[in-house]
Amino acid sequence: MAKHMMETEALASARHTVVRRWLATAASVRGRRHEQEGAPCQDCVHVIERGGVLAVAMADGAGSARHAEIGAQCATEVACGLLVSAFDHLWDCCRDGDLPRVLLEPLLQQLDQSGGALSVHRRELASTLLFIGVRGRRYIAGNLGDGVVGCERAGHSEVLCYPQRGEYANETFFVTSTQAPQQLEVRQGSTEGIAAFCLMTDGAADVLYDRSVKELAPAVQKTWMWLDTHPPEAVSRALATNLRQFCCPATGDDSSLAVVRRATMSLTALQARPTLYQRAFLDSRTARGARNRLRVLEALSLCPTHPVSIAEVSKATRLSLRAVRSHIHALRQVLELDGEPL
Amino acid sequence: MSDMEWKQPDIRPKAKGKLPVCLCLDTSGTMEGEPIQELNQGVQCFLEEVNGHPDARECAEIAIVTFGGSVQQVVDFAPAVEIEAPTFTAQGLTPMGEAVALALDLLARRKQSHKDAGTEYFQPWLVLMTDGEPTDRWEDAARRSSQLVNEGDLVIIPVGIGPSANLEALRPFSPQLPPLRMQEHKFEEFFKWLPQSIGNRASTPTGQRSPLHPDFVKWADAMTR
Repeated sequence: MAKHMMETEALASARHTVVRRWLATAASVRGRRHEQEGAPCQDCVHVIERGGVLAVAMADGAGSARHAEIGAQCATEVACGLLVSAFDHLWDCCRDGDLPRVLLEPLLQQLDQSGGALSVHRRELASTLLFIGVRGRRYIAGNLGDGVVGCERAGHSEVLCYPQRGEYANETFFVTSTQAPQQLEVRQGSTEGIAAFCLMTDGAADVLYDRSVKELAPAVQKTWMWLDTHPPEAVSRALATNLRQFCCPATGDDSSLAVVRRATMSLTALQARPTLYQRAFLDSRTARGARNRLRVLEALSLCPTHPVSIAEVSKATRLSLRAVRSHIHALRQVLELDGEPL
Repeated sequence: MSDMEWKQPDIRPKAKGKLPVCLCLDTSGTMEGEPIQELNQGVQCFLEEVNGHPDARECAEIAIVTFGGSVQQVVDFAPAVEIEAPTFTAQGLTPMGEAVALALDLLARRKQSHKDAGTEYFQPWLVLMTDGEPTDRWEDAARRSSQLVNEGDLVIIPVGIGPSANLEALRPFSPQLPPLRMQEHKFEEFFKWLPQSIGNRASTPTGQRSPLHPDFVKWADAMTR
């Protein structure tokens, strides 16, 4: 009885018909210079969603570092790993001003380990680093180097972290710089009013960030909306195509762009989306799974006047109690309903 | 047509940063004959190569100072496409100290003008080429260029032309890159390699005031063997 009441109460808020979730995708393209040299792309992007945390990290390897692409990969993996495994701890560290140490110490240890395996100093794995972590109504963002972190707030694009440059055009800071702890810029806050985030390395910023007025280019705001209607894989391919078309001619450098979107729509609109989109939105590996989750959501939203029990959802969807609980648990990880976590 | 396409009005391409390059060239009497001819051809080649390199073309601004008897600024900073290659003649002694001092003044003024205009710029380059050694007071200029190099505010490429060049006389000007001996008939190769390096420099993030890329010395050495 107690368990039934808890389930009922938990589902009491799930009577709404507007669903939201954070979706993210990214792309990196090799620059003209590296193509000509036959060198690998030295940008790296990592996107992870786990345990209710969405984490995106991006790094641009230093041109002077012999193994920059390995360093960039290390940096993004460590940053994402920390965000998904210790978001709440990092949140507190931000508040206390301790996030640079908490992030950079394990990162540099990893670089020392990787450098040791290659018999090189960690400086040969130097890279910039920028990241965003979102959990529910909170975000943590950071930038070290010449990348840009932006967001859409109240319908307007905004720069959260500006590129860090020295006096000269190609000077910036890396995770291996002695001033890295002081230079790592960290932002944290509520996601209320925020509909999207973006990360870009300087190669992409060369066309998507207007340095004269310090604003994001209009293309960024349009790009965010792609995730409202297209699945992340398709958007990633489109990002790569656009980066190649516009960034490669403009700069010899590698370029990367990540977009994070709080996709918001009615259940009806979600039901009208292509299957691939539904699967991404509902975090389902299969079309059938996505259909079942839609049925569960539909059942939850059919009774606006009183809570819906698991048993009632099971009856309405003809899914087992166990299956219903499993779907609700999965949806709870990723969905918000009218601003409230599911 | 995909709806996921950027349009030109929606992007904001960045203006390329500027890289001031001053060629500081020995046109003293000992350059008479083949050396001065090769130098003339080399500079012509250099300007063509810079103009043909996508990154160097947009960012490099070239000035030329000669020292042969007197010191002259023969070309003011301009993109390679706007420069008509001058023809040098060999004469006089080698006032290299005065020439380097003038080159440093020009580079400093150029940097300041970009700073005042809010234009991005790279560390300036000074390419110093001589077939002999200075015949004037050079110590102050060498001290100044060394300090700028050590503070990360200048890239200097010192080149001795031919077997008579006194590389030891060039060393005080360049605390990081050792003087390179360029063999005769290698002018064109050197002046083809230089724009590549300029282009690479302009498109590579190098961190804070880092010294020249470690490969730079290797490349430079290969070009001057």
